[in-house]
Amino acid sequence: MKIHYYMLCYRFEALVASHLEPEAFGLYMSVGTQKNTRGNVLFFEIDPDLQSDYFRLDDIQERCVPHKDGSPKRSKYISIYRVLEHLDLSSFGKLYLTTADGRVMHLEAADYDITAEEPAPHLYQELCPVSPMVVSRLAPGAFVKFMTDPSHPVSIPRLFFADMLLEIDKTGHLAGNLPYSDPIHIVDCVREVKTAPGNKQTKTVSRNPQIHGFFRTIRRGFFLGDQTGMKFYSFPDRRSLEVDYSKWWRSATESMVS
Amino acid sequence: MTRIKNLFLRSTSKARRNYLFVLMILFALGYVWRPGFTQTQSTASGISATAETKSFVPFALFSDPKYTQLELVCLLAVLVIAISGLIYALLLVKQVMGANTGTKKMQEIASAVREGSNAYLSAQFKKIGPLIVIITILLFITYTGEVSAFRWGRSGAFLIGALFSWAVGFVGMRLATTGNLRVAAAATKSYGEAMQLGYRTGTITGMLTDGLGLLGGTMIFLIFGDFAYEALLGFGFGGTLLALFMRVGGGIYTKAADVGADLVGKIEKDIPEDDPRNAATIADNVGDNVGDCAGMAADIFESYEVTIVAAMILGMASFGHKGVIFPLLVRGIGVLGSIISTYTVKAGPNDTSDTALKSVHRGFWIGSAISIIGFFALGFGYLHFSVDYFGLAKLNELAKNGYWAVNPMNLPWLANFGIIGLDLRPAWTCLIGVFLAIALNKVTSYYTHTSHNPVKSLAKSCQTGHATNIIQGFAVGYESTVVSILVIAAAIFLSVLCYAGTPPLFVAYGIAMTGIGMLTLTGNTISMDVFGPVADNANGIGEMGYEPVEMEKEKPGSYKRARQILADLDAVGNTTKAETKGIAIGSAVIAAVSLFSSFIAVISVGSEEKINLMTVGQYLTEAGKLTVANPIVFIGFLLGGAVPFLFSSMLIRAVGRAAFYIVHECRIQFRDPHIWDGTKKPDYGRVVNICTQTAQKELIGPGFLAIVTPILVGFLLGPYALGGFLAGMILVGQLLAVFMSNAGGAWDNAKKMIEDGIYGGKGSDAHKAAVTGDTVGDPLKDTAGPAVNPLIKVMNMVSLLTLGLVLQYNLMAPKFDLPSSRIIGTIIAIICAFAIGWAVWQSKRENEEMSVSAMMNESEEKQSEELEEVK
Repeated sequence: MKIHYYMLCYRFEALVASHLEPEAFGLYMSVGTQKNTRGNVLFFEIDPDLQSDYFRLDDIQERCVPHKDGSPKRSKYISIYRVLEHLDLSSFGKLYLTTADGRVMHLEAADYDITAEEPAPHLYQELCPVSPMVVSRLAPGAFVKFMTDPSHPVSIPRLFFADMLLEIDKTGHLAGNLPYSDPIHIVDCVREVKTAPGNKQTKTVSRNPQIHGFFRTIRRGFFLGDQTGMKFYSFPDRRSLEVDYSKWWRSATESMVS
Repeated sequence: MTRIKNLFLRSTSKARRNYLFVLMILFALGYVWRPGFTQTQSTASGISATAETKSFVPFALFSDPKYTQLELVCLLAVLVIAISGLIYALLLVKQVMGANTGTKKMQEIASAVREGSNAYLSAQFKKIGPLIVIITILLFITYTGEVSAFRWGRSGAFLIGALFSWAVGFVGMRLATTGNLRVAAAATKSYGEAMQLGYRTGTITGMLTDGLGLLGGTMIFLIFGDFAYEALLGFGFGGTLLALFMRVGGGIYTKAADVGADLVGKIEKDIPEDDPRNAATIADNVGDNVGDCAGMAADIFESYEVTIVAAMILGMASFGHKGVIFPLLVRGIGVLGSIISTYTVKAGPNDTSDTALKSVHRGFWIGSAISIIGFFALGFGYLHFSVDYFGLAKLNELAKNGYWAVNPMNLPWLANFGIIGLDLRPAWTCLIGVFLAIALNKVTSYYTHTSHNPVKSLAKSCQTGHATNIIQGFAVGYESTVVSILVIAAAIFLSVLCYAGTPPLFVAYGIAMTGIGMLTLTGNTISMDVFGPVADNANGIGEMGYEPVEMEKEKPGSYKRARQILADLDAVGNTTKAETKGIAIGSAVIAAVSLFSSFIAVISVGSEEKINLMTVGQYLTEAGKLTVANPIVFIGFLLGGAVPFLFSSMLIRAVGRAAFYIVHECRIQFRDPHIWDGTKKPDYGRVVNICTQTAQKELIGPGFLAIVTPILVGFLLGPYALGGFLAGMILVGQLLAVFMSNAGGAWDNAKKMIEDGIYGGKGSDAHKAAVTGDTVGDPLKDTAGPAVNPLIKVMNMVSLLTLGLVLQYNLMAPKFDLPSSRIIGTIIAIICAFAIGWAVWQSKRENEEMSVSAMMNESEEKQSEELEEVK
């Protein structure tokens, strides 16, 4: 059986080998075999010819073997720590978004049009390796550079994050359809980023937020990058979600879990 | 071990059945047996029980000079209108059946829903059928009058009333399960077409209710003439009893399926509503039909029947035959109004839910206008009275007692607009009824619609958590009961004002005519109600049966547009459905108040056949004894007030129990990986069967409670306590029913409001709190609340029908103070007490573990076999 490599990046970080195809893997990670677990899962398909000095891959063919009854090995964990930074950016393939009940949709890496940047502020949900929600005056490209800049006293080698919806209505309140837990605080953070004197690039909204209706809050898509480059996974527009991915979208929007 | 458990379970249920059967025989024997010597005793008032022997000739009114040719023609015209209503329904059936039926996938889903609905009603008919036959026989045997034609008439009318009620529910539901598919198919083309089909599917049930109700009442009057009340009581009781069973069974089914599907689907597995992988999805859709369609249609049908029964009985006792014919004519006008106005309900191809709702409301307004014009036109043409009509001596005697307003020469200006002899008071009270229906619509709408403050306040309270939502919901529900009761009280007060200066029976007739006016537009009301489940089901069929990619290939944007149309129609249906609930409950109160007057009249003269002989003095004397200053009456009042709570508790428990079984079944099916990945269809039939069986089983207990409690109170504590019992039951029943319906409706719509995108929308903390409120409110608004409505009327009808026997055999003061009377009363009371005890025990039994483990074993075995086959 063919071995696939997947990198789980939400809500925990891990590199996993599996005989399952991406859709089946997503379903399995989301609801398990007994259908007793549930939860949104995000994972990357990793280059199957992955070579690494950091990860123990040389004996993976021996470790990841089918079960005695011939059924595929669903998951063989290779690493559960500092995975994101130790994979080449080029080895990241499609991004799979799995809803709480196991519906899977994939996004292809696409070119990011820097000229289409929208004005600040932005709301980002960092997903891996750290997971705070922040308001930033930086556009995604600049934000990645800022966060992974080793000259800063606090930085990370690489970052995977989502660009989130941030609509403030005429009355100064967050738009009513956004399911964030603390809308007033988000508005305060936006105000602070806008008005703070000096060089305040980002403001943390929450260190580890519960993201209700997660997929419903995605704006342009997901970003994966470091100082060397950035990959952009564009999220489909509303019409496409409702028509082309109707089952996935319904599952995503009706979900009650974080 | 499991087998032993199962064996034990089976033997226990068999023993239970035998025990019940013996109880029923004992009950029947105790109920019908009367010592022969008591029948020749003189009554307390000195009237021999056999002295008033009547002669009866069927269709006597055609040869009775008291009935003019015009009256006979009018009655026949009413008959023709009733049949026209049925023909109109038939034409609509053809229209609906001829519509496009969509894709094969959609047809399969609709077929599953239809089969489940049919299976439910067939199972219910099998369960209730024998009971209806037994009660028919009991009514036949226990008839205390002397004319055998009345004996046949009452029991036969009971059977017909029950059959009509069942037919309305069955045909309505059958058509709804046919229409839902057509609506889903039409939504792919045009908003207007889909909306019109949905509404007209509801109109079929509405016109069937109108037509059959009017046909039954008119035929009974044509056959029995002045003695129509003898059969009318049976007719009303038949319809009411069936409606109770259909309401209770449908209510348990719909909410058990809904709660079960939601708990295991949305909450446990986090899958969307109507997801085809959920084994309870089809049962949920079936539940919408059996609860909101069959149950509600039967419920309004019985309200329609009972109000006409009350009006005809009281009309004969007060205004004479004109008092009977007028309500029939009014109903005829109502049917015409409904035919015209329902046909005007239309929508354009690009309308929205707001414009569609306006169209539905406009139809109601048009119908109301036609009816009001019709009432007064009829009144001007028909309600002319001369002094001779009442008899000068009688008028003088009444005037001497202060009842000046009976004399047609002496009426205030508003009652006749200065035309001597004209009496428009019945038309005025009908008008009050129409306004009452509109006002109750508005009150319900205010407390349950998203555009008003109560629901907005609930949605807002969800931001602070589950508990605050529940607390606010209670507050909204309680407040709504007060407003509803104020509206009903105001309507009754206005009716009483109309009949100021008349004896109590005239006043009661006025109230009964308010009920007639209120249900004049039954066709529209049921159209609005049935439209709800039809649109809801169509939405489900769209969700499960549409092929988005193919639809978009064929015409870009068509899938999204069709889904939007169905969602809009669903929202309109939810609103119209909620609005009609207020009418159903309000009509129960009005009918109950009218029947209560009949109850006092029967106590006054000893039996219903002597109501005509009753004097005002007798009525007032007996009514005066119904005071809470009398501890026995007060005890009855307390017991009556408690019954709706016990009844509701039994129903809510039943929903919980049934949902428990469904959750287990769905959990088992979800374990099948092929079901989960969508490559295999779940066994929907198993959940449908569980719902059907549990709903049938669970309705027996509450049904027994409704029938037997007034009999127990009557025989044990006497007729005055029974009067107190009815008063308490009407008051508390009304308050509780409104509270449950409105609080549940408000919670439901608060959730929808948040889902539409406020306070974080779907998945937010506020939404979770709203879901909790909705789940709490579900069994209140769709099971217990609506079922209290037929409960009120069943208890009233049972009290009226058994009052003759209660007067003879009650333990407190039997008419014939003989040991044998008390022995009979004691036996009946003991049997009733046992029956109620059994019903309560049945509702509280906790044998789920045994049943579920048996069910799980069976299902797991089946599943293992299937998996083996797959392997």
